[in-house]
Amino acid sequence: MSDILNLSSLFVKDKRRYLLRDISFSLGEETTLVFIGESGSGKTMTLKSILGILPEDTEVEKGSVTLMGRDILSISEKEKRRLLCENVGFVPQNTVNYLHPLLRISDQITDGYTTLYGKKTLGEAMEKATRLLESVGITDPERVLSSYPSLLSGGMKQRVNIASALMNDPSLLISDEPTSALDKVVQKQVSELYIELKKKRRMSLVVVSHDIVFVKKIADVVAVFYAGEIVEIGKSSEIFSNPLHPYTKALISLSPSLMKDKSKPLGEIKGYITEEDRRREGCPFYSRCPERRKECMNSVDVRKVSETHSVRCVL
Amino acid sequence: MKKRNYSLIIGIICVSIIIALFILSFIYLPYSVDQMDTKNRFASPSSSHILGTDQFGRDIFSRILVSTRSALLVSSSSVLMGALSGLILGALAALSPHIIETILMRFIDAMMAFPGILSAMVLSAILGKGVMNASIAIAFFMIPVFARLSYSMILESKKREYVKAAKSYGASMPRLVVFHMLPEMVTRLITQFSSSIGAAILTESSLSFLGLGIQPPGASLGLMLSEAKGYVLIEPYQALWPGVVLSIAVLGFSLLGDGINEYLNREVDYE
Amino acid sequence: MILEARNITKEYRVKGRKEVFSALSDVSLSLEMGEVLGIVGESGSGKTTLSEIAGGMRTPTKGSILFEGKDISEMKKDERRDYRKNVQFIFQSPKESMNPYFTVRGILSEPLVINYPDMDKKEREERIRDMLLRVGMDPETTLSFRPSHFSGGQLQRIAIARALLLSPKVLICDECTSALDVSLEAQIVNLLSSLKKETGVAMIFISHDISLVRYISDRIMVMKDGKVVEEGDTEIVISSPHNDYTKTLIETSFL
Repeated sequence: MSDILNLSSLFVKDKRRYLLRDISFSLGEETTLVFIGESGSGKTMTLKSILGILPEDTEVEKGSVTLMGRDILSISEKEKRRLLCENVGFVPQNTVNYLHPLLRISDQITDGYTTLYGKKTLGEAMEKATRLLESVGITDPERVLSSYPSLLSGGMKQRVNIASALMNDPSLLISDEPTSALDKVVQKQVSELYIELKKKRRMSLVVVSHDIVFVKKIADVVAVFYAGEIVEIGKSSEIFSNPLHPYTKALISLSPSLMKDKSKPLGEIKGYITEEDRRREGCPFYSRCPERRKECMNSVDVRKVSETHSVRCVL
Repeated sequence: MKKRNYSLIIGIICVSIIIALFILSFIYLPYSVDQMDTKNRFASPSSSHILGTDQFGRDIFSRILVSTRSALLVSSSSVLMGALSGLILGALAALSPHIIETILMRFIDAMMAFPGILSAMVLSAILGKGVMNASIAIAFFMIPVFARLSYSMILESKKREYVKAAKSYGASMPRLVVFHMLPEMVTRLITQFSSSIGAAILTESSLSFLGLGIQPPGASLGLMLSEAKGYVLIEPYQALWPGVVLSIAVLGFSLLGDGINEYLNREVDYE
Repeated sequence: MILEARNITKEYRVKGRKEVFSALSDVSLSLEMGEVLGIVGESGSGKTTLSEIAGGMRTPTKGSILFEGKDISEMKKDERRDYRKNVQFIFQSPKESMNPYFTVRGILSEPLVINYPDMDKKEREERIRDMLLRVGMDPETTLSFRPSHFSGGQLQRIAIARALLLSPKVLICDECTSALDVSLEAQIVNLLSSLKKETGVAMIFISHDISLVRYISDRIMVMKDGKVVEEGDTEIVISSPHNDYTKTLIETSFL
């Protein structure tokens, strides 16, 4: 199987309700998949189930997560760690707190590598770290390696995080809101770096973001999350030129832009996600949807529009 | 998986035992504290003396019952005094201009630098022996603990955005402290209070053990231990019972403090 | 001119070091009646410090603040009180800007109780209900709950209600949408624009997102490293920026 990652009808719930409902997608080689959606829509939860770090009080009800052809939900903890360690790199959201303030960058960045290949490889690891830091656009890797995190700017820290995620040459890089803590100018640089990484290292990426501009730039495939479901998934071009789900349409149209007419108010989605939306059998977007119908209250099936594009909506 | 809060459970059980003994001392006291039964010195537990008698033939059970009175009253009154003055001192330091803040905090640091039991002994020596003075001495050494706590909590609260917001619509300083800072502090205060009572009971016993607290023929756990120490080899029971009760009391209040803390934090996490 | 900040400098002494760090160096700001001034800049550019100084929450190292032409450092107690009442804030995180131990009724009563101690309970309740309706919240399902019951967007509406209850002349919104999702960001910005039209309140709208600031501001001020690098009419600044940094900001929002 050439799929790097495959999720099929994954249901995750906690004591009170479903956090994820029927999440399915597969990710091929050299592809960037982006999750968009609002907070609480299940994007991060999906990442956590891929990484096998779901919170304590949640459980997988059914479904499977297949990474490099192996179902990570059924293998032992040790095997899972090994599998993740060898194949997956993770770039966190909170760049500021992710690096330990009292350890030098060199110690933190080499840690994963030496854990995987044994302590003897420290020299090798340092060499590799230097090369990787260069490749993520740090011009003086030696200085960065010997400094403490507090001496680095937010953008630098994020580059260090990216480099350390690449240490074990993963075939999949997972990244949760990589730009939300960064300034606009640095955001642009990070997006360019991601595109370059994918090409150069021939790897796949799963990125969570709510920044439409960023998504447009880096995504090959886009999955739109709403209240724990994927409401629409398709190639980036399909999603942005032919959005089908009313939520996708709204999400794309409402981000502020310098080109839009200022005299009209910003497009908005009225209302909020409520508990009821998450419990409803039918479409979770029902209560806020401008085009809702009666049949939306019943369970809605996924409709395939093309080989790559599918939507969970009756329209 | 839900983790059981054992600290809270054990803490509650231990504290209940002590409180039960305390209440019992008022409704059922088999013998008075200083009633001697000279024929029955060093008696083993029997139906007339459940826990035996001491070197003067006094009933150990009765003396333990009365001891819990002094233990609880002295410790709670001293912690109350210490906590109140400590809180006020800490709050003053946190809300004052820089210079006053520095002076107050250095003063508190200096108080903290003395070992608690030592300063309590010095104070008892100056003020004289007795229950009242023991309470004051213990209260004195509780002050820096609570002052530090309230100081750090108020500094933390001051940064909260809702405190800033209240300031922006014109809330006065006392109002900020009472309505916007205090509620957040209460949980940590309760925790600290409970643990401090455990510490205070121990200090009271130590002072009495050293002869600076409750005076004979009164009864205190420390005093009983002190009297028993000469006869440990002949009559171990006499030291055992007050020791057990003292351990239960100190352990109980400390665990209760931890347990409450754990319980309240779990509640907050859940939100 | 309703609010003016003249030549503000704010310096911090870094603990254990000799040199001072200047968060703001010689920055001036002016706000006309009913005008919206947008301040754009990255984190660390000094925009928050400036707004807090203008709102009287912090004192500057150098410079003066004038409210309705009067220097606030020379104000008498009741004038100062009046200034406080007339300059209200909306903070970045609605969750953190509300006391978690209060119900919404308590949160909204506070400013009224403090500033109008003579107002009777019935009138207070009426005003609160009226204001909640204006920000699009239903009083019946709102008043007796605590903040943890609400989502970020709802809380930010309540925060706006709290600020407007005192009918201020100036509203300072510091990154008030950056903690919210896109769909709610639009809701809040639209709400603020319509409230501005209704009440004529002047606003200082601070954000790192120039395309968002553009929607609501009449005038725009671009800040970097504690200095104002460009200032002018929103459309003019955006269509023909002079400063290199402004140009980068505009470019990156197209990406």
